[in-house]
Amino acid sequence: MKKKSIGKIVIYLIIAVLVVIYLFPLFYVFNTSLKTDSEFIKNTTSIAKSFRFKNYIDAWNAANFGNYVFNSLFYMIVCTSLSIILAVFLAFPIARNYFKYGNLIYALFLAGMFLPDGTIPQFKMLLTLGLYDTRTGYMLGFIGGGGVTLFMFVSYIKGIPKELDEAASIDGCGYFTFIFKILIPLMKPAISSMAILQALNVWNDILRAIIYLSKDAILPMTRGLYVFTGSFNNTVTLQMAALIIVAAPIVILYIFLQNYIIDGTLSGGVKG
Amino acid sequence: MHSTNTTFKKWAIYCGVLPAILIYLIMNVGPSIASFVFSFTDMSGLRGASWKFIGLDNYKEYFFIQNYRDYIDVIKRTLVYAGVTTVVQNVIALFVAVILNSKFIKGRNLFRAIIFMPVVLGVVVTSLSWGLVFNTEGPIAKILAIFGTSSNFFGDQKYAFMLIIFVQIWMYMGWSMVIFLAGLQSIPADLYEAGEIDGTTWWQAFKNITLPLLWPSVTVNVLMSIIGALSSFQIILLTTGGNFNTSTLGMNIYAQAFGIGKQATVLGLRQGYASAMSMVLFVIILVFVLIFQYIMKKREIEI
Repeated sequence: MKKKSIGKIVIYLIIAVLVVIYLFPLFYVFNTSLKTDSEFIKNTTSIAKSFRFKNYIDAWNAANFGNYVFNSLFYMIVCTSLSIILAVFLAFPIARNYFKYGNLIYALFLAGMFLPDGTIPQFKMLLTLGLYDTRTGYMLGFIGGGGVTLFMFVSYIKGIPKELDEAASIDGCGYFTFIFKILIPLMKPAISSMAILQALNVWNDILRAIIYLSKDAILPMTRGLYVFTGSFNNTVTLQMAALIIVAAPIVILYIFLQNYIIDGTLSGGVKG
Repeated sequence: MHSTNTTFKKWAIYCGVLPAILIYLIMNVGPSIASFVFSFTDMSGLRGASWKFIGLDNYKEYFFIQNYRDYIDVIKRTLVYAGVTTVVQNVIALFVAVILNSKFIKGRNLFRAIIFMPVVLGVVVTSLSWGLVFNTEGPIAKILAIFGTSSNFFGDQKYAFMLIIFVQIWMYMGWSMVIFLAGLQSIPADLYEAGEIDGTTWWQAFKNITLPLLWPSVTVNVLMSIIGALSSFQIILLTTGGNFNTSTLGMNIYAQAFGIGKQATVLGLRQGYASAMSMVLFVIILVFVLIFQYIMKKREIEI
């Protein structure tokens, strides 16, 4: 019995260490963001005394964070909903064998996950089309593809009885009405987990934002933060306030939606 | 065979399918194939600049003309990066998942959520936060000072790369752990109870019950970490920019092609050359995936 309780203590100790390693960076950033600059220079590790919330206002005003937030939300919502809708429209006929070469196309999409990285020609193409440094060009790359999403949707639709299609069409339901009004509501679990995966992907993107965008007005939050923290005009405390501005909404959302988010990424990961 | 469809209008179905296929072909398949073609040209990144096919020159330059040690170093570093992160990340993740799966643990979901958080926060917040923690006058520097040493951290020729590996593992360990946890929870509890009656030790139970039944999760995790670590370089870009002996092949490709990172050449954007490098990376990834699948297949049969 005694041996078991020692084991328990050791396990809780390990967990405690992990929690510290995982929470410390954010706490440290938060603490720094509340200091005045001289306070930080004097002692980088002291607990903030001045609680300078003005840092947040200054950071917010120094760069266009309101705009960045809007852009990120815009990119996230548009890319996620478009790619989900496109994938549903593709997955349904494939799952039902409703069109010729469906299986071939399906195989092509899945194989696409193992193709070489095409970023350079993609960039070249968007540049030639005049889509470099535009919202459209930036978003296009997120909308295509989606091997995992397609796979999930096809297998999910296969579990929905085919009689439903027939019943719907006998009742005079058109194809697009059927997809939006009947199929998509039925696919809620699959769609929500794939949407979360995709939304995170867009929200946290930095690479495409660096390569495809340069105008300040259309930068997403990640890139805005990257530019802001890279500038020597901004003090460390101000930079950290900006970082908290970016991280706080995600953390708050995460606290409420953690189970959805984790399960969503999980199903995408395991099936992919 | 595909069944004849009597339910919905054919044109409607084709209309629905078309956008997805077109975007996929134009944005994914096309560029992937073009990437291969580009690798035989002297394409630059400038709009409308002239270019021509130069055969295998890019590959020759990469392997023979440029400083021999440089590219060997970069490829070695890429493999070390992928190897170390994959092994360490999965071993730790499995260990943590097993611990969190213990029956008596309270607040399992909370701990799971905390460890998974970096995946949600994203690579920018992660890199910048650790950049502050590893400030040359920050908390870790103070701890080192107690032991009488110091380091420039992300500005240190010797240790910057190790720190990047650490941050990479810190960021993605939660992902692997969540997958292991889900796998563990699908193992029926009565298997362990039966083991307990037979008097198996903890280690025996782990080796003979947990690991074999967890094998699908191991496969997924290892494959994802290898591919992820071989191709991703965002943390490198955001912490050192590829300086201080931290550049991997992926980082080098994007530095050549788009002039990002701190090592970008002043020579301009050499996208043909970068494409050739990305083909080298593609072959490396392909080889890894094939070897891995071969090993896993063999192992699966043994179990």
